[in-house]
Amino acid sequence: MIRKEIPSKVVYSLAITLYLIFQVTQHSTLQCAPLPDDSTRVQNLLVMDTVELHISGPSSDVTFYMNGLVFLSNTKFHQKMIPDHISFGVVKAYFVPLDYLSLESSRPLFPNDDFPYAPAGMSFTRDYGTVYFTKKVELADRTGVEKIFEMEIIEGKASQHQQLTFSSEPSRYLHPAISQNDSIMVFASDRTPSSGGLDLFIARRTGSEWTAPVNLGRGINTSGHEWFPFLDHCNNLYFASSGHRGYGGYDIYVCLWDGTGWGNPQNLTSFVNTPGDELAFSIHPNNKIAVFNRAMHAGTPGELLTIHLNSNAFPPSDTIDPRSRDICLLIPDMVGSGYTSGQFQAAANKPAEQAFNLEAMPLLSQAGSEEQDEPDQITLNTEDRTASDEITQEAEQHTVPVVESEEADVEEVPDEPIDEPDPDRLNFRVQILSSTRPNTRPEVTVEGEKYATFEYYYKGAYRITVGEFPTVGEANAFRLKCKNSGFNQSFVAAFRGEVRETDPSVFRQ
Amino acid sequence: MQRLSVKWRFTVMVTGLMFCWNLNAQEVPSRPLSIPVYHPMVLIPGYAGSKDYTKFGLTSRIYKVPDNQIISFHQRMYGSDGGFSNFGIGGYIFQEQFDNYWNTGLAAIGAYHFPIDKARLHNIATGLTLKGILNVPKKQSEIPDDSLNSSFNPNMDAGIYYYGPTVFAGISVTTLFGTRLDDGRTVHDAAYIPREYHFYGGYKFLLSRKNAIVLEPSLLISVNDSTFSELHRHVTPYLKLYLQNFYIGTYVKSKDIFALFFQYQFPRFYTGVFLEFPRVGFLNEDNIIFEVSFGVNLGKGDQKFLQFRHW
Repeated sequence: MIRKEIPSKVVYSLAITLYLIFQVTQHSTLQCAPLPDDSTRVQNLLVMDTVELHISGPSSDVTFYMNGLVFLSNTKFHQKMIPDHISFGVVKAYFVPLDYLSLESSRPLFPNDDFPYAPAGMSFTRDYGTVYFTKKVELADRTGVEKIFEMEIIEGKASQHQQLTFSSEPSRYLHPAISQNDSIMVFASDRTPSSGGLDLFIARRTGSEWTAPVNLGRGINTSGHEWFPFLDHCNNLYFASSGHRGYGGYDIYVCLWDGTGWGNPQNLTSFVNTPGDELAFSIHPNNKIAVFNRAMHAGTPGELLTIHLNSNAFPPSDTIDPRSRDICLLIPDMVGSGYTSGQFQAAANKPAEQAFNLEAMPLLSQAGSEEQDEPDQITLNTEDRTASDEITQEAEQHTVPVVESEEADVEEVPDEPIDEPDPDRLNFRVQILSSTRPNTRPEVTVEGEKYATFEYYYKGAYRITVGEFPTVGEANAFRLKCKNSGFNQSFVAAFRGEVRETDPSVFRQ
Repeated sequence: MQRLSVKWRFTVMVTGLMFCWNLNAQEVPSRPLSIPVYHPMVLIPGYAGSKDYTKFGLTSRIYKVPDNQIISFHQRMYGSDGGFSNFGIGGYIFQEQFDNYWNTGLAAIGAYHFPIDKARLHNIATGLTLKGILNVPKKQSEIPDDSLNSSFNPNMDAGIYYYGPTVFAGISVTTLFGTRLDDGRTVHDAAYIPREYHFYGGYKFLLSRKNAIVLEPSLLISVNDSTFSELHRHVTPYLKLYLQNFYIGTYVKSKDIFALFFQYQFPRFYTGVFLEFPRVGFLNEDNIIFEVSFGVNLGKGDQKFLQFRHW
């Protein structure tokens, strides 16, 4: 019997081949890798909980409004008699305070309008003066299709609904997410050009109008659905998608804002996502609580989950850590070394690639003649021309208007959060006035020069500030100017990004 | 002394009537006795579609007394938008056995429901029933066949029904045209069904929200043209006590008769038992009227069979 030795080269080749096959197989299952250490550490700082609010409405999603939640429910669940003995009723939007989550504590959102629209499809402006929402309208062929509407909230009451003009064509327009400064809106739509399913689009406000929507591109959109967008106060973009690599079903992803655009989508890790469907993620303006929906099986009623800051997890030495007061600041750490748009970053904190540049809106932008008539336009980012031919052709011809700043004539006061590169940076502003009503002083005159103001809501009133300075000294110098101009009660207030920083130690830096 | 509210006075009155009633026992009626309990739309057409689910029910008298069955259903129609419309429909088929006749009937009910508040919790419904009753002589009757004729009697019921979270009340006229009295038939014939007038109303008291306990006193008044002048003698007070998935009830229509009825809702179906027996001689099984009821409550979409109680 002739015995032949297998050459070691063959053995090594086989081993390498098997290893490669194993790796390819692992990656082709669309599963995320185990959580990196950073994510696990951050997740200790957060607490997940279920919401004990027995919502029996047509949808189990909620949205934040003031100090509470908005949910849909049938009027029969809000009667003294138990619902088993009541038939019918109507679907209505209800408000319940976060501190007293129960049906008994709820009240109609608006006394003069049932407002029976899905809360996950609502987005309130920061001053709660306007709500954008998704409402089904009937087309000429009697089919229903979602459109985005706008409604002013006047003294807590609903007013007339107005459909946004860009959503007038027959496509679906749903889930508007308005930025905190009311300047941009991200929403889901199946309008063209599309990557397939519902894509995320962006529109920018120009005065009282909106620009034509622009597709957020293939860095963010996939052939699956991308919907339920949400913009936090740092302008990070959250959304649900079935097309990116995840844990199964719909997962929540975040595109971190880098000052000029959004990075690639990053999975919110297994802390949030599961093989079920996670949808409708949003963060309360106080930045201490987030909420989202989870349905483990299609067609089953969703479970409402909250994420709270775990203040006990921060050691006493970390009391000045702004992350202890802001979920938004923990998110980048949580996803920092996790999945990013099809690949795993080798090292934590590696800057993510930019998926969408707001200043140079690239990719799948909408070819609209009205946009091309706009004076200021930005050309495409040619590096991103990798989408389908149809989309690319449209994109190549597309230019996108830049919003002309309303404060162009006003002396430069950088108060647009969308332009702030670091949402966590410390800055100082001069607070000159307070008001119980929003937008009372959009600009002020200090020593003969006009300045745009920045307004924030704090302890029951709208606080008006002027200027933004990196040091206390510069802010104090400006404060003296304000006092000389009649603002006698001016003082310097510290901020982390746009959030008031009340820690006095920041003034000693 | 503080005056009792209207609803408590109503309850006291119903309860008092139950204990003080002093009427003679009536004849065995031509329908299942439990119709007001399990098939109210037979008496009040406007009831059809007053629930947000589809209800199918079968009731049969099964013990010692003339055989009666009724199958009924009713539901609220859906609109083009998938929600509930204002139209309710219903129907029932029944069979009754008399000494010399079988009565078989078929009825179709249509109702229109007007919400009277924005929250659509309070509604008024008008209902109309078109029905036909076929009287067929029994073959084995001791009376010679040639003295009994088959007949078909088309007829109509009409009524108005109000229902809200706690109060319900309806009035109606059944067998609007009466039974024809031609062919030698008289009002004394077993197959004769007169025009009848009904009032049915009640109030639900929430005793415990946590334990889902509700007390429901109600009144049923049924008279016909010849008994209209004796209205007070035809008032039947009912009392129901709901305990989550279960209720127990009773009514008093005479001092000589005692009645009990129950219903329990299992997931996907419900069942009920109705008993009426004389106070004296209740051990004599010939005197007991025993009816059973079985049914399903259907929902829409994923809830084909309702998993939870709905009263």
